[in-house]
Amino acid sequence: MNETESQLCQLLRSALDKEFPDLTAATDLVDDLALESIQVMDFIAEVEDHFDILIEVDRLASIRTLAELARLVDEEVG
Amino acid sequence: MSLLAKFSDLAVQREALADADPSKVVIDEILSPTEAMINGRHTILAGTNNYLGLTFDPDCIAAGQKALAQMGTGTTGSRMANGNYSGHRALERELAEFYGYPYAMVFSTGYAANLGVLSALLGPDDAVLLDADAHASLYDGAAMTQAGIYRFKHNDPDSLDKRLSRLKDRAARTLVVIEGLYSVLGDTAPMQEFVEVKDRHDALLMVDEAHSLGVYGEHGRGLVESSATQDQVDFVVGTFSKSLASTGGFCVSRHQELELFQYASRPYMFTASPCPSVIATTRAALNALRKRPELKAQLWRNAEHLYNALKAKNFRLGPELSPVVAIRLEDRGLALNAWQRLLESGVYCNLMLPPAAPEGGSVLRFSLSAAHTETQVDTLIERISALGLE
Repeated sequence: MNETESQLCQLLRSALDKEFPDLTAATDLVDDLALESIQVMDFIAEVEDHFDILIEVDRLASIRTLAELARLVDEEVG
Repeated sequence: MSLLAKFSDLAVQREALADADPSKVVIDEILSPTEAMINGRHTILAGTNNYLGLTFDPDCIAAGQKALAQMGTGTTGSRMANGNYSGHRALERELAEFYGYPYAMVFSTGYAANLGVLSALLGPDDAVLLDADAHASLYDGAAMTQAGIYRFKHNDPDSLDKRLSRLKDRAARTLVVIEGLYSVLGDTAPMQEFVEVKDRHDALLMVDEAHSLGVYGEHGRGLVESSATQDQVDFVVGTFSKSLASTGGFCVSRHQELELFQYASRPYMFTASPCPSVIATTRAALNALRKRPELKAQLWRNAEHLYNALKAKNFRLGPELSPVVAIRLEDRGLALNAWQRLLESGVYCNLMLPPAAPEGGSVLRFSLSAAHTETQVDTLIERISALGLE
């Protein structure tokens, strides 16, 4: 896992107050973690605040895994 | 995979709901603003958002009947193509006067109002920041535009402030979108704080008062009135289908430019205008809202009665007292079962399952009406308590 992916894992655990022991870069936020779409959106708000970025709602539609989210975060951080 | 394959998942979900499917409920006969016959059973309506209870008001019915006889059944098309009816203009004048704003615009539904205002306002270089719990129609309206769409945490002015700061120069080309009363949990927006934040960044603010018109403020103008923010809020949108017991939607604004939206709003231009009878009943209901403050007072007595009784019994409710009383349940199956048992006991309420309810939970929603009697509210309390959900 790269640095962004590691930070996202920590954020996910703290935002949802759950352990998620088997997180990897390939973890699918919806299928593997059984998160409701609204929980994913709440998590994204925490991601935005942590990295001090804004993520357009439209861009989230194609994000499934932590690795894909990490790439998007890196793009926004610049 | 065919175009239709995606429906197989929905078919499985519907199958799993079996009889506990709210979309299968048919109201066979409507007896009054708060009673109906459903599945051959006399049922108390506690999920219709009929806040002022005006659906059977004699003046509203008479106004609709008169318009039907004098102006016909329909308008046959849009106002742009087929003409304005005098009633459309009159209702717009009355709404503008009611709010004390220079202009009002009437739409065919509340959904169309949100689509129409957002699509007219927002262009490619603009941004829109929506409250996380804002209604689907607001997100759909934003999605019709080429503006950048962003989301801030529900009812959190600090979250909004941070995001407007991140937009830098674009903040002055940003529309902030919130609701007055949120319809799932019955919580209200901290209007003063939001107004301060949007003013600091030179953004504009749109408030959807679909559930708060007629409910909040001394004159029933909604959260903009009760929070004394009417001079700072830029656009107020709302619906006629709840407190005004009709169908349709509107926008009022302190900005003269609203008058020009009719040339830029496709959901206004390319849909049929409201029927004369609908406009007439809406005008009569608006008149009742203005002239009969006792309706709002009775609505709040009923809301206090139900909310306080359920709170005393330790139900997990929404965060504040309002005419939307939400029982929050973690377990989806429990919520489905409770909703079905209530219907079988003669109580109709709303069931909200994830993702419609916040935090991955489920909600049983009860909306009070000025037309509910004390006895009906007591019956609601008794039948809800019998579920054993505390």
